[in-house]
Amino acid sequence: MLQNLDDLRNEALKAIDQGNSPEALNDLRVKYLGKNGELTLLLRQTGKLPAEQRPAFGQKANTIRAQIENLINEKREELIKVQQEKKIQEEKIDLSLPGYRLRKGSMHPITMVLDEIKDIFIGLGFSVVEGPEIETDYYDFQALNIPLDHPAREMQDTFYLSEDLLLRTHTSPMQARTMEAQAPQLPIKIIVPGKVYRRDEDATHTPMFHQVEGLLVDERVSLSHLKGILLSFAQQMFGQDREIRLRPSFFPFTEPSVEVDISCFACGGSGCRLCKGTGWIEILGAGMVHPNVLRMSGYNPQEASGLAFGMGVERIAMLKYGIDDLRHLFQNDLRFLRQFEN
Amino acid sequence: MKILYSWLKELVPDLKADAQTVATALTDAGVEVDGLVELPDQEYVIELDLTPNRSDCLSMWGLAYEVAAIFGLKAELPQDEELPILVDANKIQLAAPQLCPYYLGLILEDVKIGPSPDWLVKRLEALGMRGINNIVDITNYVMLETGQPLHAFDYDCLVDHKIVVRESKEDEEIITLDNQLRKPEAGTIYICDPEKAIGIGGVMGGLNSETTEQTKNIFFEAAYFDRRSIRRTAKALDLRSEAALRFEKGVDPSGLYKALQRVYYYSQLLKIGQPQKEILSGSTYAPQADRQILLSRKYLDERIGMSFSDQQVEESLQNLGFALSPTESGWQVGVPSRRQDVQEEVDLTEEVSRLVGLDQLPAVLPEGASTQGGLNKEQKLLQKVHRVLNKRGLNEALNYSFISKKELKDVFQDENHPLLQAIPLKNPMTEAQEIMRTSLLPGLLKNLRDNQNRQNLDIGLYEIGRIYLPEQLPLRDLPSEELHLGVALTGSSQALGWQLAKEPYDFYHLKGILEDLMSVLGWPLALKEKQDDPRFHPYQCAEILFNGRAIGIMGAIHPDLAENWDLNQKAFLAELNLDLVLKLADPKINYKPLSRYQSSKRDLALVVENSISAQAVLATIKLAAGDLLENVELFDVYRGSQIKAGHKSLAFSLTYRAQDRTLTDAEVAKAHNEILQFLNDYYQSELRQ
Ligand SMILES: [Zn+2]
Repeated sequence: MLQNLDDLRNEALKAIDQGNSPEALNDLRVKYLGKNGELTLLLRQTGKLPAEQRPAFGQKANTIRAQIENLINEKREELIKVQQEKKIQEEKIDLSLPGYRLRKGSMHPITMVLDEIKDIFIGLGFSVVEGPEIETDYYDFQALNIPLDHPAREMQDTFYLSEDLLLRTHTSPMQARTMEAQAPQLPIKIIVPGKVYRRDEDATHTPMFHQVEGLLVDERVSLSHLKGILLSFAQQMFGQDREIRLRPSFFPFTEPSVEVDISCFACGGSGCRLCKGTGWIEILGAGMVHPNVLRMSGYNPQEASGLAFGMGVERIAMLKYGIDDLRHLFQNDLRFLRQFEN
Repeated sequence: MKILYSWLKELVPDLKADAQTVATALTDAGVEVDGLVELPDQEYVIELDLTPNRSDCLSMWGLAYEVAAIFGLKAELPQDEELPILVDANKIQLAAPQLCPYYLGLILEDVKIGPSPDWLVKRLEALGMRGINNIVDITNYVMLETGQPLHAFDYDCLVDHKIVVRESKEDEEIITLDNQLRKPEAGTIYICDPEKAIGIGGVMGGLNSETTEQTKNIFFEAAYFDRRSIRRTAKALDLRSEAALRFEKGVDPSGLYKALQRVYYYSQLLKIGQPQKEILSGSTYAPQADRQILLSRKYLDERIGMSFSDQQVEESLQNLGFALSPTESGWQVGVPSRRQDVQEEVDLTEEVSRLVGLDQLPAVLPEGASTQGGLNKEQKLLQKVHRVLNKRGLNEALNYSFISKKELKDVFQDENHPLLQAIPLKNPMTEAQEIMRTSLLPGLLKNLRDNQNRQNLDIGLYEIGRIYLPEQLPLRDLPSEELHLGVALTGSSQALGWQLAKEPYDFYHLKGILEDLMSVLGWPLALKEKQDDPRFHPYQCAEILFNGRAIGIMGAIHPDLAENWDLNQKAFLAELNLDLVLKLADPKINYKPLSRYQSSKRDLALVVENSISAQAVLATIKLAAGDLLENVELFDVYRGSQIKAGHKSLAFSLTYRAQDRTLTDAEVAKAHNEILQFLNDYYQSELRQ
């Protein structure tokens, strides 16, 4: 019997050693240790042994049982580990393949820049108003100190719709409209974004483009305030290191009038292709509201003064995003538009 | 306008700055320099790009004042011999004083016409003019020097040696110096003798009074013409001469006399004849007195935002040649008539600030009552509209507001469509931009076609922009400008990933986009089938209703229209009036407390006639359900052999839940059956078996 026990052990150990899957080991467990397993059956025969042999047999059988049990468990765990390892190996994927993405859609770069400009001026306390794109000669010109036959009318060639109605050549008519509506109340603090039209088409002009006009009318508004507001704008739009420069210029509706340059953000001012070597980039026109404009709109120029500025949105968008050709902005080529998905 | 550096140095003798420095300084002071050209012998031509207000800079003398003031120097202009002025209406008759208030003449006798000396021709040529003969050259040279245009008539061609300045008559012709027969509109300024026209004032002389080899006596004209009239005439005749340019911008009334003094000087210097020692005038003429303007220190400081020193203020104005005398509160400033642009106190603040230097100003943010900036409701909602469309993967397009008549007609396909009443431009640049758009669809269709031609085949575009609707044509009043949204889809919508198939766009993509849009604005999307719009597929088209009225249209493009526009794929279009929707938008978040109790789901497959819309059934379910229905979704539509002909099966998933308890099966069954009963009664529907 003891010999049987040893044979069984040897056979079991060999079988365990050859077992190659957790399932096979489960089978071995049943085969040897299960209810009807071979070791169990041997143990059941203990009663047939002489009484004095029974303790030794029992003890040995239990030892063998424990040994088989342990070996099966060990081997099984080992196999599970290997199997797991294999499964993990099989789940290796190519991490370099692209992720699943949604098209984000895009706003037009002009809309994006307009939003950015609005945000900056809202932060400075301005409200946003819009006006008609089809205007009267009065608001587009006369109320802005540009009488009929004024030489300044040649500066902006106009699309006419009738003798008196035209496509606004700038967003400035809303200056006059707003002041007329508010006079004599102070302050006025508005920006006017919108489409404007001029009879001009070449590499740097499109017959329709976008402007943002700004107007601040209050007591004692000065040229230094204009400089302060526009410096703040330039730094928020083009970077905190930007400086601005005012150069005297002429617009009929402002006096003094200035052109405003920012220090070049590409070269920092040392001169490059973008700034044509000057270190400065012209971004807008501005000035102090002309007394005639204040008067026509119902303000006394001795009591109220104002500053006004106007910027071309296309130009700012081109500078900001490095757009090389103005015409792209109106061709709506998806290859262009999709670059602004963000 | 061009200026000559050597000439400038004669007029500003203390000028030490080189030409490049002068050019830069001019630009910094607001007289923009366009270019600097170097000529032999250390000569330079500075080319100016003048703003329309600075007509005073259209002469060497004007520039000399400007440069002197910029560099803090004095301009030294030649002092000419005084000549008496003889007013004689028999010699010069001003018959149109509103168009020509001043007209002076100088007579040169026994002229010897010939070439001018080299130095003079050289200067003329450097400044872009040609040397012709000593008479013409003098007029041009003095114009460049003083800014006053001059004209030389052969005095003996004038009947009675008399000048008449009058308005031209209807159809009154004249042959001008360039041998062209011209017929400007009646009311043009004509220079005449008692019998005939001898020149178009300020624009071009007549051939009949031209100076020739035979000319013995010359009449030099220096006049002041109404600049608007000259501008009109020059434009109408397309004769933009140097003279006309100066008259248009406005000449200095005091300059007439000075210019003839110069002619007197040069005709003696060049020995080309005997000038009479008097100037003829058609009206009382005296060089104009300075314009007197009070400049208050307080005003100046407030407008500039800082305080310049007395010395800075005074030097800059005096160097411009302005006369200054201090007053209690500031200065009284005498502004010479050559500076027509300096009219009032604010103009003096500009002169001072630009000459002292705008770089001196501090950058200050305004104090005072703080205002709260911000966007209004519509402006905020518009940003949301962009966001919701972007979320659906759409790209914003931006088209011109003007289109061609043909494009508009090609979209509407109907000669009588009211939206073909578009506002025409009076002076369009091209046919493609001849009318103001009344719809966003022509632009978007063009974008689809252009993209398709560039092999961009999967396209989802939107545009937000105005359309222009006239109340009547021809246009009399401001038209209404409506903000519209247009959407155009073609090809496939995005696939979620590279392993998944793309989804071809169909009607429901477009509808879903509009549903998303309306939901952020707090309204349901309401549609009404429309079968008779020639732009759209008759069975895939609906009007968009809002608050009971039609505000737009959506659907699949009609195959004929697609062919017209060379589109090779199905396209889906929508356009709606965004103004109205934004105004009445009422976006709300309707928060409901979360129920702690379990929900029950029941499906419902309903067989209804094909004509009954799923949307209607959905709405009916919501209407019929009580509080216990939490959600209902359509998840399948089936047409086919398993159900009876002319019918379709709609499958809905309904979720029931109560706030205060877990519903029993019996409660759910009761609620579900009530809905079913209602639907069966309403639509004669049946449960699909
Ligand atoms: Zn640069």
